[in-house]
Order: sequence, then C-alpha cells, then structure tokens
Amino acid sequence: MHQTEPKAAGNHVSASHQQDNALEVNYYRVLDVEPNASRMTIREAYLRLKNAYGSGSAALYSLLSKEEASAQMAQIEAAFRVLSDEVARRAYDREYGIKRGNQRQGAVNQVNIGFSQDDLVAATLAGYVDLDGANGGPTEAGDLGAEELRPEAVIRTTRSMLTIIKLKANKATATDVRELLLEILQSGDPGDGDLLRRMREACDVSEQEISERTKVSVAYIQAIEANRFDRLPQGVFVKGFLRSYCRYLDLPEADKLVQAFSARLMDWQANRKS
Amino acid sequence: MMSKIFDRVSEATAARGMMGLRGPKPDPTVIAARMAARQRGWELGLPGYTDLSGRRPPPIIAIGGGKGGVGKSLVSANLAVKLAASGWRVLAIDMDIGGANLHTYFGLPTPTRGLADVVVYGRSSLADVMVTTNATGVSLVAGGNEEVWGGAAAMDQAAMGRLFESFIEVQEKDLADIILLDLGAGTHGLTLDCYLAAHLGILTVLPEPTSIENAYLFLKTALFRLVRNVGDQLKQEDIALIVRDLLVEPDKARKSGYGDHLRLIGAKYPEFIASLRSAVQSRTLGIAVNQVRSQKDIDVGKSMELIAERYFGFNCRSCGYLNYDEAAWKSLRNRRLLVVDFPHSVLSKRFSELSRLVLSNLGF
Repeated sequence: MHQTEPKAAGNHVSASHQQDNALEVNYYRVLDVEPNASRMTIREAYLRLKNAYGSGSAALYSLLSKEEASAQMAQIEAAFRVLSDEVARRAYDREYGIKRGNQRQGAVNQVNIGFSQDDLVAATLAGYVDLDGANGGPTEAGDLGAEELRPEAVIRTTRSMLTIIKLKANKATATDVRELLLEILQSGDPGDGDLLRRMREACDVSEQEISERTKVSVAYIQAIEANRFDRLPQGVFVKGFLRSYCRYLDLPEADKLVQAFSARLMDWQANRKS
Repeated sequence: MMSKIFDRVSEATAARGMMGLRGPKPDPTVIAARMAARQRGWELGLPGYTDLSGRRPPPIIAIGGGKGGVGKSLVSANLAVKLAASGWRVLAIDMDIGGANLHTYFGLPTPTRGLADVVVYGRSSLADVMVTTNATGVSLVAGGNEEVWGGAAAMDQAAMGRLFESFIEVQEKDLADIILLDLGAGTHGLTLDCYLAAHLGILTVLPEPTSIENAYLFLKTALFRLVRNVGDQLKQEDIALIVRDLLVEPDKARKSGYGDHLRLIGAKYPEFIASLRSAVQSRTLGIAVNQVRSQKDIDVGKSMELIAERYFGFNCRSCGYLNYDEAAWKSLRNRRLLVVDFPHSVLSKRFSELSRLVLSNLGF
C-alpha cells in the first residue's frame, strides 16, 4: 500500500504547502518518483504511466471512464513536462520548497538505480530495506518485531546489502546521467559504435531492453555497438535504427551521432561494392 | 568509465548471490525469519474468528483471478511442479469448491477423499487426505466428496477454522515447504478469505475486457474484505464499517482510487489505517497475464500492476506472463502436465520464470 502512505515528498515539502500538496497536485507523487529521482527514472515512470493511462489502454477497462482517464493523463503529462525539464523542475522545487535530499536520503530513495528490480523486491519484502522508515515516515510495528526475530546470518546479509545499495546510489547521485553522457560523448569519435554502447550502459539500459522497446533486433544492436558493418543492412535502415536507439535513450546531440555513424557505414558499403 | 561499469555489474551479481536468488532453497531458519517478519500483519487480515495466536503456517500462495477459464488450475498445477523442481516440497490444495478438478491436471482419477473430509466433516486430518502425485515433491489435496459442498452451511465458520488449522498442521507436521491454493472463480467470501490467507496472491488474467473487469472486481472486493477482517481482528467492527462506507463513496474513490482515498481516511482513523496498511504490506499481489500473443498483451499486465498499486493501494509485484500455446490443451487431453509433456515449449520456460519470480516475490 505504499501509495497510501505519506510519501517522502511530504517530508521535504515546506509546512505552508504541505497541506495543499496532500490534496492537490504534487508532480512527484503524480509520477510516483522521489524528489531526487534522476532523469532516467522520471522518464521510465512517465512511460509506464502513459502506457497504463494513455488512450486505448486496455488495462483501464471498467475502472475509469474515458474522461477520467484523460484527466489523469493530462495530469501525468503536466507533471512530466515540468519534471523532465531541468530548469522548470528547479523552479517548481523552489516554489514548493522541495529539497532534493542529501546523500543519505538519496541513498535509500534511489535504490533502483543500477540495481535490478528483483533484488530490490526481495530486499524490501524481507524487511532489509524499509523505504518509508528510512525517510522518517511511520514505521510499522511488524517491522520492529522482525528486527528481534532475525537470525545473525540474516542481519549480516542485511548490512552488506545496505552498503551495496548506498554505494550504488551515491554513485548515481554524484554524477547526473546527463553529465555522464556528455562526458562520454566528448571522450570519443561520434561515429564509433562503442561510444553508443558506453552511453547505453551509462543509462543502465540492457541490450534486451532497448531491443524490445525499439523493435531493433539484439543482433543489429550488437553489430552497431561493435562496429561490425558486415553484419548490418543498408545504411538507410541503420539510420532508422540509430534514430530510435538515440530517441529511446534520449541521447544528447542525437543527430550528430546518427549522421556520423551512418556516414561511416555508407562509406564502407560503397567501398565494398566498388 | 569502463571500470565504473564493471564495478556496477559485479556488485549487482554479488548482491543477487547473497539474496539467494536463483540459488537453492534457503535454510529453514531463513524461511522462518522471513515469514515471522510478516506474521503480525498477515494475521491482521485473516477472518475475525481465526485465532492462530502466533502459530505460523508455511508460505502460502493463492492462485485466483475472478473470472472462470483464465487458467487458474493450469497455473497452479504447473507452478507447483516448477517450484518442486527447485527443491521446495509443495502441497497443492484444490479450493475450487463445487468445481474441483485440479487432480485431472495431474492425471489422477477422481479421489474419494479430499478437503471436504477435513473441513466439512472434521473427521480426517490433512495428512490423511494428502495424495502424492507423479511429480516429485508435489502432493495434492483434492476437493473430494463434491456432493457435500452443495449445502450452503457446508463452509461455515467452524469449517473455515478447521481450514486454517490445517495450514498450521502442514507446518507443525512438516508436510510441505509451501502451500499452493487453487481458488475458484467469482468473489465469494470464502474465496476472498482464502485469497487473503495467502502471503502471495497471484491473479491470473487474460488480456481481454471481461477478465480485466473481473480481476478489478476481485481486487475491490478483496480490499473491502480485508477492511472487514482487520476490523474483526482488532474488535473495531464499527470503524471498519465507517471506513467501508467512506470507501464506497463513488466520487472520491473514482477520482483518485482507493489507495489515495485510504491515505486521506488515515488522517481521521490513524490507528485503524496503520493496521490495515500493515495487513496489506504483509501480502503481495502478483499479476500473471495468461495467453499472451503480443507485446501489447504483456504491456496490459504491466499496466495492471501499476493500476493495482496506484488505484487499489496493493503491494504489487510482477509475476510475468504466459504465452498463448497450443501445448496447453494438448497436454490436458493427454492428461499429463504441460511442463512434463512439453518441457521444451515456450510456455514451459515461462513457468520456470514464473516460479523464479514467485520465490523472489516471497522473499526467497
């Protein structure tokens, strides 16, 4: 039931707006992300919500009318417009007195960065990570009971788990993904497939995920990233693949990347023919 | 940069290993500790007349879905086999009262003894009516004695009490490591109570409007039943009634969903809602989409998970999906289990994935 709990956002919101936010629109709550969520997290949350509440979603049947669903969707779009734009987001945070949280809070809030969902699920269910308790939210009496009953071995595991979670989260909060991407972009030749791979990995997106979302086969993704021109189809097709690749990852200077890679590929293909 | 990425990967792998995911069955003390952590909240959601006084059953999984014909028994039978394959002794109980046929999925003849002898007549214990199946590690308690279920009074409070005692018996006599309840269709009070008795309640849905509608109806009635049960357990039936009435107010509930609505009610009845939250948190809801034919169908499941969390406020975790596969009915006609008859089918591989997700959702 974590929707029903006062979210971490409530703790960061200044007193004057706290009551309003409980009833009115809190963009972070609309997207169900923490105030210090990264750009990728926000984007992912938005895509998930759009899939569920967007027009033509089969999953809403019998629950919400068309008007209700589109009202919800409008709210989600509005929240994403603000939170996905760094300038607008800062202004929004300032207006509502929302703080992004310090490193320690960030550590627990951002556990899902660079960490598989299964691990998080298992950790949460086993009571290893008390997401709400760590934010100063209400602690369930059941959780307290669990503390006493844990055998020594489990406690040891808990400690190392938490260390890992914090380590990861600090890394993620320390370097904004966007900055990391720019750093990678400047470090190499924009027409190099390996550059794309590094950027994809920085976004923490697997080959399988990007293939599923862009409908470009894993084999082609791998060929692009390994610069295996011999395994790729005609340049125009690859151009299309690259566009969806860059769009899905929301890469900076996407046009330049697409142009540079396809130019190299087309050169190679022209040489092969002659 | 490269080293950064490698660090990330190796840490995640190490964490996975430590969590015991994909690994063998954990130590009994670990299982006990994790179940004990949920015990209080779990007991809060049981019917008011059950008094387990801290006694603990093994992990319970329920397979429901509201609508009939969505594959509840198919999932139950094959999931049981896959769980057993990873080392868990599974006891499958056919809770589809009046329409029990789980034994047929295992290729067993109609049994003469079953659940009715335990809960209706109270003349046998679960250990007496348990039968072994062809699948190693899976035992079955069939419905049995279909005739008696016809009586409306068959499943009265005393009978339900005996059912819960049976769950405890499984743990105390060490009959199995996991109980798997195959529920019937519909939203009968008994079905809901059995669903709420589970630590992990899986809803089987088809990507079709009728099934989706019934699944939501099931979730809604389960939530209301949970409110009632928590009220009974806390001896605060009056508050439970008020909360229920507040929840049915159509405008508020429709606008933002029950999850948000309960949060606001929590401002008025903090203790009751805190107990309700604890009851909800100790139960995990999983949605498994069956007969998936396209990516769009898989996405329906993902969206339903999101909605179950946002709209109903349940603690929802992914249970994956099952492909549409001819092997399902072929194996049934052969009266053999799908995962045994067609071990290399796509569907069989999906069941392995489901079993992995089920264990990880239970915390193992």
